This record gives sequence, structure tokens and C-alpha cells, in this order.
Amino acid sequence: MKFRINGKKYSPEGVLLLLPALLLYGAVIVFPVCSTFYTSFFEWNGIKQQAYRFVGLENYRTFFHDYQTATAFKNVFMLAGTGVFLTIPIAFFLATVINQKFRGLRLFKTFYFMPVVINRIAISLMFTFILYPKMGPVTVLLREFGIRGVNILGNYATAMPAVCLIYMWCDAGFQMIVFSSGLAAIPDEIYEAAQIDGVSSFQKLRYITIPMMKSTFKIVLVFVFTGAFKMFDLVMGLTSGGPGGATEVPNTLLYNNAFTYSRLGYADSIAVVVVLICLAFSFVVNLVFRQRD
Amino acid sequence: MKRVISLVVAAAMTAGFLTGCGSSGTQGGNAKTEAVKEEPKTEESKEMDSNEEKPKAEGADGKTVKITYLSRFVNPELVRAGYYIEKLNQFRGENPNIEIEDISIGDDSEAFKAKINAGVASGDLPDLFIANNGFPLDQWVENGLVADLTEVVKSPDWTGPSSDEMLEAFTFGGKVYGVPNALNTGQVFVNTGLLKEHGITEVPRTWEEIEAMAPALNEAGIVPFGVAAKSKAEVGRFISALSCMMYGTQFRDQLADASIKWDGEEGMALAKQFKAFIDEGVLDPDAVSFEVQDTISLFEQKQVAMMYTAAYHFDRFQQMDFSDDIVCVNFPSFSDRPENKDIWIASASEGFMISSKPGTPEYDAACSLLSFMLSADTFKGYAERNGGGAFPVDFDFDLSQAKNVVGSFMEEFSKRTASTDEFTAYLNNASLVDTTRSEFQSLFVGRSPEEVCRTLAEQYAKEGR
Repeated sequence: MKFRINGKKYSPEGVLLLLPALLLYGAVIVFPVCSTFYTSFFEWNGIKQQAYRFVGLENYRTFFHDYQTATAFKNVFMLAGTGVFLTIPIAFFLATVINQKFRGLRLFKTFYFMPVVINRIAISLMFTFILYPKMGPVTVLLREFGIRGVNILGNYATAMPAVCLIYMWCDAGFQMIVFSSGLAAIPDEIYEAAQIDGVSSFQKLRYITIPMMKSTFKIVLVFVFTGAFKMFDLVMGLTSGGPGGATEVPNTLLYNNAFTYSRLGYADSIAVVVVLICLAFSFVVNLVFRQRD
Repeated sequence: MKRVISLVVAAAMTAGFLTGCGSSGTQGGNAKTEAVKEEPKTEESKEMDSNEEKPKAEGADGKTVKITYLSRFVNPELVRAGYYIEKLNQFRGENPNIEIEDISIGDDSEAFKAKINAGVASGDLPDLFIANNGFPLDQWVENGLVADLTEVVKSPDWTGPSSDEMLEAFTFGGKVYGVPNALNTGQVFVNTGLLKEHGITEVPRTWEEIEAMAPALNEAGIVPFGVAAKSKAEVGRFISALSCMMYGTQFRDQLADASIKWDGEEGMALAKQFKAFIDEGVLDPDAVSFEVQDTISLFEQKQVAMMYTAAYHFDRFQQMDFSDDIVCVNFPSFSDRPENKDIWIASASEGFMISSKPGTPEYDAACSLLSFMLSADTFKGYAERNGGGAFPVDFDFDLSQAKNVVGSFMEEFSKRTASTDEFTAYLNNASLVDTTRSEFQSLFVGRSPEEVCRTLAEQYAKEGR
């Protein structure tokens, strides 16, 4: 027996079968998000017996006036910028390479995708050794070229750019796979027709490939931007937010406030700000791409 | 029929999901501890745990008490951890009616912090556990998370740390809520052999002497004075010791009661002095990239002549090939301020606390274990095993039994005129502690003392100081 809501038919069995998944989703996604949002308006030190103290928007005000917030946002926009202007072009190029048919294709795919599957803490350790001052391979190589006293991760000016480049190395493989699936969805007949019309490779890219991959670009853009805002493991592994706070990002501030300073309400406000920014960006991207349609 | 089957399947899936979420608190707690345990269990511990699964030993009254125990002693290959694991097993053998579930976590500080914080948030702290002043102990006391141990430490049977100085970090409102299990001193390890190779026959005791020898050592590619500046704790210890040599314990007190500001004369002088050491090459400009173990390795490779670090690392220095050439001295002083030269940084801010409620069998069992682990005999046994050390309790120790590096430390430490914890320990504000250490760390990466002091003054003012 089916029942109607707003003119649509629903089957009770269907609803019941969905219930376990909905309960699980509610427990691990909806409830923590709502709880985080709720706690962000309170001051709480993480002790079960301690009552929440309502402070309204004070946590948000404090966050936007914190001297480390500007640095954190500057760093995260640097990561996002690296994603947009470096990761996406490189991933797109790699996708066009792996969509060809040639010998050793599988090897290429494996190598390019490998950074995605390696644990980021392991990657951080690896690059810490590579960039070690005095004895790391990069330092030794630069010394051979007469460049001495280099400490990439220990320098205010170079620490964050190094983190950005390592992030690009980690992420390009994943975006390459997304682009690759987008490229595979373009019918070959269109390229054949263009070939017959005498269209050049660049024109094919400009007038066929990129327009037909608009939705893929949209997805990759959102992944790259939100991935930058979710950055935590790589920064903690490489620099722990140092040296002297040079590589702090919102999530390291969140972590320190939650687990070192026991300011969970304030930490939750940082989480809410990050989520709202990511949602706003997704909305803007969807709007822009829809308008272009 | 289809409808009946789909209803049954839906009900079964929901029931299974709800059963998985509805496990008891105890089981859930155990699942958590198993998930965060980092170090593999030792053979002895495995044996003890398998013994725990056998029929329980009964006490005189026929009741067995089960308590949970969280320490940092996991790796039996380390001298200290191995000793305290043995003591725990000894206690188990002597007290068969007390079942101890050892949920200790070793080197992973983050996992240890996460374990404690999870216990605090869930109201499920271990019965006996190690904590330090990096946690908000005053808030734990305020919320009744930890037990008052005043009567325990004042009882006639108590032989552990009992002086006000040693218990200060765990004393709130005149009552004692924890007992230190170690005295963590800061000392300088000096490779006298390396200094002799470069014409320095006397161990430098003042910063002026170190500054004088710095150019020659730098020329030879040797760092005169090593500090693991990637570790905020090491930076904090260094600047605390520096402030003691410049101002005695006065700076600590004035900063704690906010009678001086960072952008005042004293704060600025401290930051400028620290920066001067970096610029002169006394400290390694790359030090901000090295953790403690990295710097100790550089010391072992004879790329660092002197190194300031905590007492946790005596083992490593003792095991070096040239350990006979290593001496331990206090932090260098200034020749124009000799009255401060024998002030030592010594922190008794890590220790055991009890979360069990007084009057319960678990509390009594935890107190019994606490008294055993922190007795003078236990400390003395460790001193004999380690060949000396510094401890939060006095006992007789034959210095001739002391091993080379530790022996020279004990001789120097006995000359102290005063000891103090780091000045950040007196701020009682984890955020300010982290900010202070982080700002001084940034002196290695080009920030000026003026910028650092200005930022610190602003941040302290925001916290009402």
C-alpha cells in the first residue's frame, strides 16, 4: 500500500529500507554538524561536567580579530590559488596524456596517482627529510650550485610556498582522474567531425574539449578550493603550523584551540566559518557555471 | 509476500545498526583504549593480560577491584619505562586482588593528549593517570574530575614527594590533586672532547665565553650551542633559563602577576638577547627545523658542541661513544650577574592524578598503586638503575655509583641555590604559553624582537595581563 505526500506516491517499505542509512547519516554527519554549530555560540572547555556558557557571536568576533587569522586565511588562499592555477592545469594536461593510447600507459597512471594513495603524514615525513637543512638532498643540490644557508621549511618566506607545492604534488593525481573521466565522456565523433573540417589541436581544445568539460571543471574547482580549506594533515606533518606561525591554516588553529587550549566553543566557530566559506564558494561556482549555460 | 520480506529486512538492518551503537560504556571505553594504543605490548604485559583473563585472584575479603592505569611507560627497552613496567608488575604480584588494566601510551604525545581529552569529555578518565600542566588542571579540579590527595601525601606512611615546592604545580586552593613522578631539569650537555680539539680546554660557563668561542667553531662547521627550536617546549625552556640568568626568578613573578609587560624593558631585553645569540652564530639559525632527537643526533655527530635540553634524554647521551667526554652543567650565566648562575630550571609539573571518587574501592586501589609507584624506595631503585638523576624526593644515593654523564649532572645540580619551573608554567593559560613559545620561535625566521614583544604584549593584554 502506497501513501501520498504532496501528490507524490511513497512506499512504506522503501522508507523503512532507507531508515538505517538515514539513521547512520544522521548520527555521523547531521548530528555532529548541528552540534558544532550549536556549540560555536557557547564557551566550553571540553569537560563533560562543565556547563556551556552562552556567548553569542563572541567566538566569531574573537576569531576575526585574532592576529593569527589573517595569516591562516592568507595561507589557505595561497593553497587554493595553487590548486586553481597550478594543480588544475597540470592535472588537465596529465589527463590528456593518460587518455591517449600508448605503451606504458598503465605505468604512467600508477605513478601519477600514487601520491593520492600514500598517507599524507608519510608524505610530510618524506618531504621533511628531502628539504632538511644542511643535509637534505635539496639543500645539498643547491649548495652545489653555490646557494648556501637554505632552509626551505624553516624560513618565513619559503615555508608556505613549499607546503603549496607539496600539496599540488599530492593532489594532482586525483584531479587527473576526474578530468580523465570527463574527457572519456566526450564522443569521438565530434573530434572526427572537427578533424574533417580541418580544425587544429588548439582549436579542438578551445572549442570542443573545454566547453564540453564544463561540469568536470566545476567539480574540480570545488574539490580544489574546499580541499585547500580542509588542509590540516600536510601542514601538521611538515611544520606544525610553524616556523613561528608562518604556515598556520584555519584547521591548525582549530586543532590548537580545541585540543591544546581547551576552547571547544571557539574551535567550533572556526569550523563553522570554514564550512560557510566552502558552501558559499560552491554556491558561487554553481551560479557562474549555470549562467554560462 | 514481498512487503513482508522487505519489512523484515528493514527491521533487521535497523536492529543491527542500533545494537552496534548501543554497547555499554565499559565496552566502549575499552574499544577506545585498544584503538589508541600505539606501542606493541611487551611479552611481560601480554603474559599479565592473559593472566587477567584467567579466573581472578581473590583477596582476603573475596573481592577484586579493577582499575585503569595510564602512564607513558610502554617501551621496556628504555631504562625508565622498563623500570616502571617492572614496578607495575611487582605491584600486581603483591596485590592479586587489584586488577590493573594498563592503557599506557608511549612516545606519541598527540595520542596521549587525545586519550586524556577524550576521557575528560566523556567523563571516563583512567583511575590513575599521568598528567602535566599542559592540561587545564585547575578546570579539572573545579569540575571534580580529579581526587583530593592531600590526606594521602600527608599520611605517615607516605614516603613520596611531599614538599610544597614539589607539589606546587598540583596544588589548588591549598589542596593537593596530583603528585610529581619526575623532576625534569634543564641542563647543558657539553662535548669537552670536541671543545679540546678546537683549543677550548675549560668548559664555558658564561655566555661571554661562548660568544668568544663561537667564530672559531662556526668556521669549523660546528654549532656552538644547540637548541631544538622546532620544539616549542624546548624554546620555552631556553627562554625561561635565559630570563633566570638575566633577572633571577623576578621576571617569572612579575610576568605572572602582570607587573611587567613584554614590550617593557625586561621583555625587550630578553628578546633582543635571544636574537643576538642567533645573529652571532651562537645558536644555529637552522635550529627551528630540528626537533630534540635531530639535535641530539647532530651532537652525536659532533656538529654541535653544547646542547641544552631536558633530563628525559640522559639515556641517549649516556649511550654515545664519547660519553666519557660529556659533562653536564647548568645553563650559562652572565659574568656581570653571578648571583643567578646557580638557578636551575627544574619542573615537577608532570605527575600522577586519580580520577576515582574517594570512598570507593577503586580510589583505595589507585592510592595504593600511587603510593607504591611514587615511594622513595621506587625512586631510589630507579636512581640505582639509571646511575643517578634528579628526583622530586630526597634519599641517600652514593655518588660513586653515578654513571658519567648523570654523575656530573648530580654534582652540578647539588650546587643549586634555587630552582624554578619555566615562567610559562606560572601563567596558567595554555594559549599564552603556546603564543609565547611560538613568538620566540619566530625570532629564528627573521622577525624582530620589537615585533615579537609587541605581539606578546597585545596577546597578554587580551587575556587580561
